[in-house]
Formats: sequence, structure tokens, C-alpha cells
Amino acid sequence: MALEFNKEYHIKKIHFNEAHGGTYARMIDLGLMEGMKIKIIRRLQQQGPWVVQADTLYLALRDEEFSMLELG
Amino acid sequence: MKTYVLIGTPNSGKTTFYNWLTGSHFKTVNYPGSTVEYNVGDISPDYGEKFKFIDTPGTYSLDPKGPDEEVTASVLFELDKENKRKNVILVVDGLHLGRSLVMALQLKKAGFPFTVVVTMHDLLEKYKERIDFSKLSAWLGADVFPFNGQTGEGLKEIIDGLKIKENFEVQKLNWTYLDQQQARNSIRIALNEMDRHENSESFFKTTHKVDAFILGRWGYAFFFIIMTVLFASLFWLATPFADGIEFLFAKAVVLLEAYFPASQWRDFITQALLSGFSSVLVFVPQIFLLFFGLGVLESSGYLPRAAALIDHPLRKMGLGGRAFVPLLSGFACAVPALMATRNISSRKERLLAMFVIPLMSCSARVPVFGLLIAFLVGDNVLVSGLFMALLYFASLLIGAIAALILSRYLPEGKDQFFLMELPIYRAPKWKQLVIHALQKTKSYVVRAGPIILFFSLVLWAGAQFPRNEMGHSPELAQSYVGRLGHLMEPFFKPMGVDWRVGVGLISAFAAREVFVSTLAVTMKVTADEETQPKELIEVMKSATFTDGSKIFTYGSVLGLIIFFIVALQCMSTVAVQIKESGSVKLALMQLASLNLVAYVLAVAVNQTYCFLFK
Repeated sequence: MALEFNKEYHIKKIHFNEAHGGTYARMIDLGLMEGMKIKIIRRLQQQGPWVVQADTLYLALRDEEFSMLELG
Repeated sequence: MKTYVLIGTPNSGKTTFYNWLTGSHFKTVNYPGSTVEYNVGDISPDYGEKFKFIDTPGTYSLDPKGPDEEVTASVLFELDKENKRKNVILVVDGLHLGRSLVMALQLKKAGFPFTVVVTMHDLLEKYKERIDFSKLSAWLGADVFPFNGQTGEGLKEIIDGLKIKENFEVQKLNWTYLDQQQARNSIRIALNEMDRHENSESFFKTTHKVDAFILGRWGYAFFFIIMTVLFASLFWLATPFADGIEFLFAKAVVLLEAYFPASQWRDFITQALLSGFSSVLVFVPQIFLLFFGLGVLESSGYLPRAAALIDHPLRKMGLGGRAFVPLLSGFACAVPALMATRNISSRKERLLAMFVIPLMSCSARVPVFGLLIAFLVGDNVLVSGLFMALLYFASLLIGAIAALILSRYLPEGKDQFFLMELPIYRAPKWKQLVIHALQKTKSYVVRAGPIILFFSLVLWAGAQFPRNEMGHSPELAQSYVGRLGHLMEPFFKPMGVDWRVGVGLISAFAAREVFVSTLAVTMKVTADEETQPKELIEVMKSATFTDGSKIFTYGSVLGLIIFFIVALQCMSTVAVQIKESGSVKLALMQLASLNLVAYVLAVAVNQTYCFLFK
């Protein structure tokens, strides 16, 4: 699915795998939850982190972290 | 004394609240067995009551995920000296109430009695956000108070309302994803019932507009300008204040010499004591500005954005955006910077950052660079400022090269995450920033001052003894300092410097700043001359080897600058490195390799200069 900036999506699933267990746990602590509304604000230059806003959470995520979020 | 533990998420306004509570009178202590710090302070005397407050590192959960959070959990769960449980003040960000209240439910589940302080009250009013504190209090079963960090409004009500509960039992927290989900759902329902809807769009509006510029196409240019202004202003803004301090010391020396007859005691006071004090205090304005500037960047919300911007370039060197704040802190002091690496999840990335941090030009190098830059470019403040900024970028470049090389040899770490929360932009709290910068500057003077003073006195005495046959001070070359210096001269000669500079370089292993005062002693610059840097520089310009050739050339001075950029001379840094990395071997390897590379580079620069220009 081609994602668009400043369009509202829902987090369908936060993918868990053993290699990224710490990342997953931190996402949960920060407040990212399945079913939450999320908006992609921008991507930083030079293939840098993605900036997203979910509820009152405003966050910069690396590519591999962003790809753990299944959006719909 | 009643003890409260303050806990809250990073950027919740916890430390601002803590500073208001204690009137900034607190001491920073290490958690036993670790270098993780937290602050302990008594309530400000203005409030009469006898309370003690512990400010813990920011945490997202009572179920710890890293060394910082483990300390917070340990401080919370362990008994105090009187075998009693501590009461808790949970500091929550009013703009992010939904998320922040999860920790309140964790505290409830663990069995802690707690008071909730809702910060950012000024912003809640600005965005016309309303919180029904009595309903929230009833739902949580805990007292809830608003607090305005800008004005301190609400502080008295909080202190008057603090209750203490003793003899309660707590249980270790087992918090699962399901617990988290249930907590979030119940909070959402409760806030809905309180007619509280967090309108994120309204308070992110300005932030999004600013970010379109700060994180947009001009992001890197803006980053570069901010960093250049920060480091160049250490010269531009500090110079008049430093001149003022020098002027006062020069006046003091003139007065003493006018009123007291020449004696050994007068020489001791003017040449050793005042000279030592002067060399400590003259750099206070620059150090204050450095801490103040870093504070402005942090409190405005720019630092996490800078970390996000720089994440990708840093990853190419094996580091990451989370290493940016520790690296930047390294420009102030390597010791807290090493401790700040605790927020880096990957072991490899953390070790790399810890290796590179001592290469960042800390405040202790400022006096040395100040002297050497003034020698190279004279008293042109504009050029000196830009030269200083250039040195900071040079230290970044050298750090990057070191990280690039080292990352090839360190095994891959597991699960390194970035996940950087970007706070909304806020006007800095100027008063708090000044207090914070003054505390840090005081800490510098208290920590480095006695060492510098001690070495100034020892070196002065070493230059005065043994007495000659007439009972007078010897020629410097015949003094103890001179004899020691001569022994070491063959080692320093390839760097293009003589034994007098060599003594300075050795003394810099006590504290880098000592180099300047040592040079003043070994170059036989008297106190009143030293308080006029032009005189010290004039002495350096005319200093020669026994064959008449100049000691301080562009080659040898550039070599010295490179030496000071790379060398690891701070023993406190080595000690903290051992604790943080858990490896004596690693710390010693770092000590040996950085000093060896520093020496080789300094020799290479000087020899290249000699080859090209002599």
C-alpha cells in the first residue's frame, strides 16, 4: 500500500519478532497501540527517520521501526 | 524526615517541578553500585516543612527496560534508611494525560500511595484544555494538583496537600501488553466521562509549522548554523566578561605590590595564588555560556529533532541519533556524557559512543584552545570565534573517523532502537536555565578549581626550590620543575616544544586547564602579566630553544591543538568509563590508544610544517 503524508491511518498491527523485542516493548511503553489513529507527517532528508503523530504522541521512527507498524 | 520519590516520563516537567520544590538546593548522588545519577534535595526553606525529595531518571514504565529505568524502579521499591517505604509523587504532562496516566495505574497495581502533579498548566490554559481535577482525583483515588512550571503557581497547594502514608505493602510489578491495553482503554473511558478530549491538533499546530522548516529541506543548514553559533558565541559573548575578570585580577596584583614590600610571601600571593585563581575564573563566562546554550536547545525542544536529523549520518559511522545528545553533552563534560549513553539500547552503539565522547572538545579544553587560538590569530574576536567553531567541528570529524574504524571491529549489537519522542516547541524557561547553568558552572569551579590551584601552587614551589647558594630562587632550569622537564624533553622535542611546554602537557593529565597556568609558571610569566593574556602570548612568541630557534611556531601550536583534541587526559573520564563499560581493559586501551594517536598526530603536524617551511 502506498502511504501518503498527512493522511489518517489506523495501526492494524504492531509486528513482534524476537530480534526487535526491545523496540516492540518500547513502542508499547510510549503508547503506540493497535487500533490507534496515526498520521505520517514527513520523512527526514537522506532517507532519515519517519515523523509520525499518533494521538498526542509525536515521534521519529527509523525505517525498520516504522515497518513494524502495519497501517490500514 | 518524610521522603517522596518523584517519578515521571522524560519531558514531563519533573525536574522543573523538583527545582521549584527544592529551590535548586540539591545534591546529585550515584545509585549504589552504578554511575546512574539521581538528585536528592530538601524542600526549600521558604516552606518550613521538613520534606526530602528524590528526583529519579525519567521513565516510561515501572517495568524497567534499561539501566536508567532500573534505578528509578529500585529507588521506588527499596526501603529507606529507617526501613520505611517512600511515598510517590507522579509528575504527568497535562498535554499527554492519556498516556501519562498509565504509570498511575501501574503504581496502583503495585500498591503505592501517590500524589499526582499535572504540569504544563500554562499550556493547558493557552490551548483552552480543561481537566476536571476533582473527578480525576476521585477516579484515581489519589490527590491531583495542577502546576505551572513557568511561574511556580500551584506549588504551595501541593506542599500543603502532601500526605504521608507509612506501613504499606507493595508488590513487584508484572505488566503485560494486555495490562497496557486494558489500562489505556480504562483511561480513555474515564477521560471521556470527564469530558476530556485531548485536542492534539491545536497544540501541535505551531510545532508542525516550525518543523516544516526545521526538519524540512533546510534542516541540515539550520542544524549547522545553530551549532556554529553555539560554539562560536563561546568566544564572541564571553570575551568582555573574561576581560573584566582579568582586569580585576590585574588590579588586585597592582594594589598588593603597591602596599606590601617585596617578599617571598608577596610573590607567593601574586604569582602563585592569584595566578591560580585567575586561570580558574577567567574561563567561567565561556563555561557558563556553553551550559546555558545547551540548556536553551534542550528546553526549546530542538535537541531531539537534531538527534533525528543526524540519525542517518551517524548510523553510517555505526552510531545513531540517540548518541547525539551524549556526544553534544561531551562538549560540556565527558563524565555526564558517558552516563547519558545509558539511553542507547544497543551495546555496540553504546560502546562506540563511549569511545568517541572523550574526543568531543569538553569545557576543560576551552582555556587551552583559547590561549593557542589567540597565539595563532591574535585578538580578532570574529576570527577567533570561527576558529573555535572549526575546532569543534574538527573534533566531530575525528570522532566520526574513530567511530567508523572501530565499528568495523565491534560485534553487531542486537535490537538497537531510535524511537525518539519529539516534544512540542516551548519558550525556554530563562530563569531555570540561568540557575541550571550557574549550578553547572559552580560544579566546574568546585571540581576543577582546587586541582588547578593545587598544581599552580606545587609548580610555583617547584620553580622556587631548591634555593641557590645565596638563598634565593634558582634559575628555572635548575629548579625541581626544570630538572623534571629536562628529563622528559627528548620525548616532547619531536612535537616542536621544549621541556617547559612538556611540563605543561604532563600537568594537564591532572586537569587539562592546568596546562595554561603551568605554562605561565614555566615560562616565568608573573601573575600580573598572566592576567593580561597578550603578555603571556608575547612571552610565547619570543620563547626559544637553546639554539635560538622559536618554540611556538604555527606547526608546534597546531600540533598542540591536535594533541589536545585527541588526547585522553582526564582521569575522572577513565574512572567513569571503567564503571559504565564494565571493562578495565577497554578503558585502558582507550587511554593508551587515544594518547598515542594524539602524540603521533602532533609530531606529524609539526614535522610536516618543519619540512615545508623551514
